[in-house]
Amino acid sequence: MFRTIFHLDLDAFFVSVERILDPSLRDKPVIVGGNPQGRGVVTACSYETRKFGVHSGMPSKQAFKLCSHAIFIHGSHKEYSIYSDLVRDILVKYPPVIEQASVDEFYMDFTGCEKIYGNFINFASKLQKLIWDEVKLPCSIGIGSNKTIAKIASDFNKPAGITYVAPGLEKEFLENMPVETIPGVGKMLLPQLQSRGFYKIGDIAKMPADYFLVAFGKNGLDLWEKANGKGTEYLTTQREQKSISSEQTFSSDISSIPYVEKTLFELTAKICQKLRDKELTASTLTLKLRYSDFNTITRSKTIDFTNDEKKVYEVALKLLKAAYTRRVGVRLVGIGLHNFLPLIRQFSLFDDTESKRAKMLDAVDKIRFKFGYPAIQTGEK
Amino acid sequence: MHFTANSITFEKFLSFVQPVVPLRSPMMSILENIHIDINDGVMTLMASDVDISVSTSFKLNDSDENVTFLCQGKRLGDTIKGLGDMQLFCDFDLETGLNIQTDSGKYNISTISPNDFPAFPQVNEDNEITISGEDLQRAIHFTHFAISKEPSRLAISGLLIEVNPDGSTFVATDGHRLVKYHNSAFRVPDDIMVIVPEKTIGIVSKIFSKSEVRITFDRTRICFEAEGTRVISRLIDHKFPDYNPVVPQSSESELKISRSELLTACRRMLPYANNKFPVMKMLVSSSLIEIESQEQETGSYAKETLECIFTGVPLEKFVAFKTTSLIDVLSHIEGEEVYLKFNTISKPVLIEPVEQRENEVVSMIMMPTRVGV
Repeated sequence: MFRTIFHLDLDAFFVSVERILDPSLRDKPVIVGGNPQGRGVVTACSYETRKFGVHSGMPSKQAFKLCSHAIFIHGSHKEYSIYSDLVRDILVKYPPVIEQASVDEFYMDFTGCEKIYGNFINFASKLQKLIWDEVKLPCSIGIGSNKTIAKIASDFNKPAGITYVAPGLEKEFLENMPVETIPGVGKMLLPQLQSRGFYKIGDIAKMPADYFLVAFGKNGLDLWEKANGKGTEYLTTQREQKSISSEQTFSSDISSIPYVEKTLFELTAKICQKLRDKELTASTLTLKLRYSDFNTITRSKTIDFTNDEKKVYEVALKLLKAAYTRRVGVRLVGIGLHNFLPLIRQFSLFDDTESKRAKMLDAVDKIRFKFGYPAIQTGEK
Repeated sequence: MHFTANSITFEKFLSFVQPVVPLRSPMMSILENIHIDINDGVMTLMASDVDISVSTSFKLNDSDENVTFLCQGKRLGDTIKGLGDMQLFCDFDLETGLNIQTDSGKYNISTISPNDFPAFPQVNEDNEITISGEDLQRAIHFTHFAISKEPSRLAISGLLIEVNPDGSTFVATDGHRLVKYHNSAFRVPDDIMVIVPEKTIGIVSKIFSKSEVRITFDRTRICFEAEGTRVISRLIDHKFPDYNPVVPQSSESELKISRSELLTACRRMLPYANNKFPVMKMLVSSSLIEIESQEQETGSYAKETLECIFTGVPLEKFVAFKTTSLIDVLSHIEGEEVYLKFNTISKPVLIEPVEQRENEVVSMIMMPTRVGV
């Protein structure tokens, strides 16, 4: 039995939300992201800016050069999250299984639901209308026999499009598309594929699977299967968060290491707060350091499970001192925590140093929960 | 010089001093030896690790001379251990050392001069109390396991002994659990308070069991003495934390449950817990208690439901404990049934036997664990 997977992608989601919040932005070129005078990047851009060559992930400065009349907005992730929840609340009523892949992407499994919802294209159109009527957000829907096909299909006809790939026609659908259409083919893999003469997905599909297994390992085999129209047919309903990270690109290159250390401390405090909010502890930390010439260094270290910024920062600082070996300005510093376990904390009978600190962090958490993160800050020392 | 001894007797008295002998003592290698003195047919064994010294005497079957020498402690112990009931024929001379002949073998252990061995310490005997071996054993049985094993936490790395006109109180804690054993029958006119190191308590519990034990102490040392065996130890010169505020005086709710059922269930939870910090959750209703444990890495879990009687204010959510700590507490408490007395899920929980012996109050206090969901 063929499965019926819908992939619903909210079109230019951040821009669309900004237009709901400020209707004067409608039909105007809008870019959500970092300051165009600074070093940030484009997070999302309206379709009006895309014809000038702007795309997400591009440095804001470059986007400004390409489309100087665009309106730049810093964006509010809190608002995006609220609208994402609203869409989810609408969708959950329909499919037996739903997976939220990101803030603006949903997979829905409608296998065996033909008799309930009738023609899937008409039903997809009904969903689009429902979301537009209730929250004024445009979306594109792709329908396929697996998640990969559904995702490629939703991207095929944007904005506000519906693409249905009939079961059995997956290979034909993909055949003439460029290889970078396949999710997972990015900056690293694309040149490697092109250097071997693979420009279209059909070029990959024609080759034996063993070739990709030998050339690219397990990921190569996965790529070959996707090129042949295969993919994951079942949805993940519970997504486990695997890491929490935070990084900062400086507005100008920093040569003052104490300033980098201060930034690292602030980032560490922020991610440890997130960890505590989720009642988790982590045992691996990764430091990221990017020099002004884009040379990037990452260093990881395993520590005892913790969510205390003091313990994490002590190790992060050592990693930073060991990693910062060149007399070149720093462009970016970041820190990530992985390898989570639910929090286990033994309460103490007596007020020793450790239990006093744990109580202090509990109090900080409560203040931040009530008044927001900036309401109280811990000192670096 | 020649002497004979019964192997069982020799092994018994050797086992009193053996635990004190350090396996390796690079700074004072002489302490790796046992001091042996034979005088008028009585053998006195002595060992020391500087902090604790033990001496014990027993009568030999026969001996023809008085001698004193040092013998490698571990080698002597390993040789005598498990020989069975037999006569040991021993010879000693300065050149060949100690020769032991058994029914089936011959052993030669080198010896050295006793001159550099530290003298057995003395305790000023101004303070003296006498306690029955049984009472002492009982107090140690309830408290020893709860003494902190962390050398850095000096103040709680020993057993607090308080004796006064109201009775005697023995308190041990590792900072997360605390045991208080009170015996109102054993009392003295003056107020006495000492902290005895954990290792000393372990040694004392193995040596003194039946006879009256005479305890003398001064500001720095304590001596336990009975039937020719003396244990002298330094005392811990730190302030024991004020334990009274952490012992709940009242409770909002209490749970009555079979001790053995809860204990065996906890033991079954252990293989399903995190190795590094095993934790189990308890969800309590009026007549049932649900306990569960889950290993996060693999997702393996165990769940059991036990009958209980719960009265008082319902707990707002589950209460969690370190599994190994709870097993320790339930293993050392006595009686068929126990009370678990709660205030809130983050406050100390008092565990007590439902029936206490006359003149005795055993209170075990455990701090719960906070577990993320």
